[in-house]
Amino acid sequence: MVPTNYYVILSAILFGLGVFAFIFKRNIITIFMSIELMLNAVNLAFVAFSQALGKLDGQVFVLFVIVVAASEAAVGLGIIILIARNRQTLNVERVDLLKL
Amino acid sequence: MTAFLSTNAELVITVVKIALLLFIVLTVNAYLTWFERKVVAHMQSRWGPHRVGPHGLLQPLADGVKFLFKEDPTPAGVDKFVYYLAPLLALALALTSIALIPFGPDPIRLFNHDIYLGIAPLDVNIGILALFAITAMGVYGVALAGWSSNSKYPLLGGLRSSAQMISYELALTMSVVGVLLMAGSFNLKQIIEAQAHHPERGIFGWNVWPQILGFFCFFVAAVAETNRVPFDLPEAESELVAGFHTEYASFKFAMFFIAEYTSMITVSCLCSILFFGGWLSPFPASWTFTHYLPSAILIPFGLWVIWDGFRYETIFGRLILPGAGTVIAGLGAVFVLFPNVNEFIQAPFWLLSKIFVFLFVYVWMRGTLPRFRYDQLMAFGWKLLLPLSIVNVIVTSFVILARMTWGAK
Amino acid sequence: MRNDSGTRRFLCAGGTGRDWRGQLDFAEASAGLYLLLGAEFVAAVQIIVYGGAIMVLFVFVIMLLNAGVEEHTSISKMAGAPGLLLVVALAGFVAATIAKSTESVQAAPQTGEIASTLGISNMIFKDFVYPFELTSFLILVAVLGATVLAQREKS
Repeated sequence: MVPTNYYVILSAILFGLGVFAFIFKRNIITIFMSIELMLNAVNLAFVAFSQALGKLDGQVFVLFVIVVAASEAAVGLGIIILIARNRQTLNVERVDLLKL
Repeated sequence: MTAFLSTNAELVITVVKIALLLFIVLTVNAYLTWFERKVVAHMQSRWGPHRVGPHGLLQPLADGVKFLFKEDPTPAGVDKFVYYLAPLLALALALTSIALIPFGPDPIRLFNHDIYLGIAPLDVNIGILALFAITAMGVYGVALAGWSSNSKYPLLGGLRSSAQMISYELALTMSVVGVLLMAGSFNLKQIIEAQAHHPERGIFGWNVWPQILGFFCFFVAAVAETNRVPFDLPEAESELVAGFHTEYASFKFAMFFIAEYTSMITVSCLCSILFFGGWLSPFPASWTFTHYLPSAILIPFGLWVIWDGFRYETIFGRLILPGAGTVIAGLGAVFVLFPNVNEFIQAPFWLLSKIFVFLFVYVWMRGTLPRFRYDQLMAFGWKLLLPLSIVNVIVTSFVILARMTWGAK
Repeated sequence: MRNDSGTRRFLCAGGTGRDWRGQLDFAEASAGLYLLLGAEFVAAVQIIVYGGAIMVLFVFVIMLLNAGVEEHTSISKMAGAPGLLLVVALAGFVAATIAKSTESVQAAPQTGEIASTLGISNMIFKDFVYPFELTSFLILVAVLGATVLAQREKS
């Protein structure tokens, strides 16, 4: 039985990687995928604790998180397509019309 | 050696089962192509392959040799990793889905170990959900194949085909929900056993009668998933213009081909298990004389093959066919003589016959129906099939709720 | 459709394609981990939804926008220092919290009395039925939003 700590540490590392990619990467699709990575990391933590505590609440919440991630991906990718069409670029630093 | 075998018995049994099943599935695929060509040909008033071996039975062998020896070029400018990955992915996923199907409830007792028919254990709690997961991943083979070929037409064909597959996946999974509500489990064995609640009903206890709408939706959606006629526009484009596997030559094309036929087999298995009682006999359980039906089919068929072999044109046919016929008739005789074996093969026999019937329906549709245009196809999937399957779920839930509230009708 | 290098180096070179592949591998690996943790229903749902739908959506978008190869840009300098600080702080905080909990949560032995699927369905339709219905509404909103966003200009 793998100790729960290991799963939680893995989840934390993955979350950190997601944050890192979110902050440093400039391609908008990559940033989006890092959001999915963060959500997945959190899912892993939920399932690990669900198994550790013997209750199924964690897994139920994972289902909700997956649903939210899916809807967010759908709408977000629609927005990304529009941005790419309008600004002809996928670099977030070029989408700066509102900047001072 | 025997110590290794006895300590790792499960592993060894599973590996042997995998090898055996792989061999059987690939052979069935090959002869399914023969079957399709023969049946479609006879429907079109012509003979199919009939020269390469008696009744064209060695045609798949010739085709296999052709695929091996044909030149296998890689077009310039393709993304090499994905180009090689896509057919591999399609084939691997298609073959994996066969591993989840149970072919019979009873194990064979061999060397003090119970060997079940089917690679996955019988009590996989998420049996059918895992099958849908594998189907969902099958979209990638098509999409990646279309994209990695450095060409317009495969790209369009791949996009269209993957859009078609993900659209019909929704209707596919929703149409099965009715069956799952009735059976109360994702487990394939329990779904079959739920249809055996009233063993005296036989064929009338199967799921297809209460779930006729679900069966219609499932079958149509499954045909669309496997890219077969009448939904094979992405493939037929290769006959007209191009398709997602245009740039794929001999062996990689063969992999796509095998993947398609294997998914046909998987869908036939699923139809039989979910809606038609799986390994249950259509006759009521009290009619034990029907247990001799396998023999009653095999022995006359074997004798006919022998008789046909005696008057066949070629010498090769006159040697092979009587031999094959003797084997078939002998098998039938074995089932008559050994009641244990007869009881054991009842379940796989019925499942295999139902699978065969569905494969015949697939091939029949191929020979008969024209294909949909792409926009008709998408409209059919989203505007007709998905609402129908949702209506099926709603009606089934209401009926089950009514039964629970007011007692069994 | 241009037969340009974008098509060719979709998933080989660095950039979005490689990120997509990494994401797909991670979704599948997560599903495997969930299976090891005894959460079979969640594993299957993860494969179907994440691996079979969300990632396919990403593939379509990457294909449509021909975004396979990322522009070779250096790491954003503006977000450099504060960003690095933030990440280190986050990782450090989490690591410290985990290290402080010396008695790790004892993994309860899997009783396996209630199968994962049955238990989850009981909870969803009894305790959490209200959030469940809300998520269906959320999906409806997302579908409508995506449809509206993807329409072409009527000009």
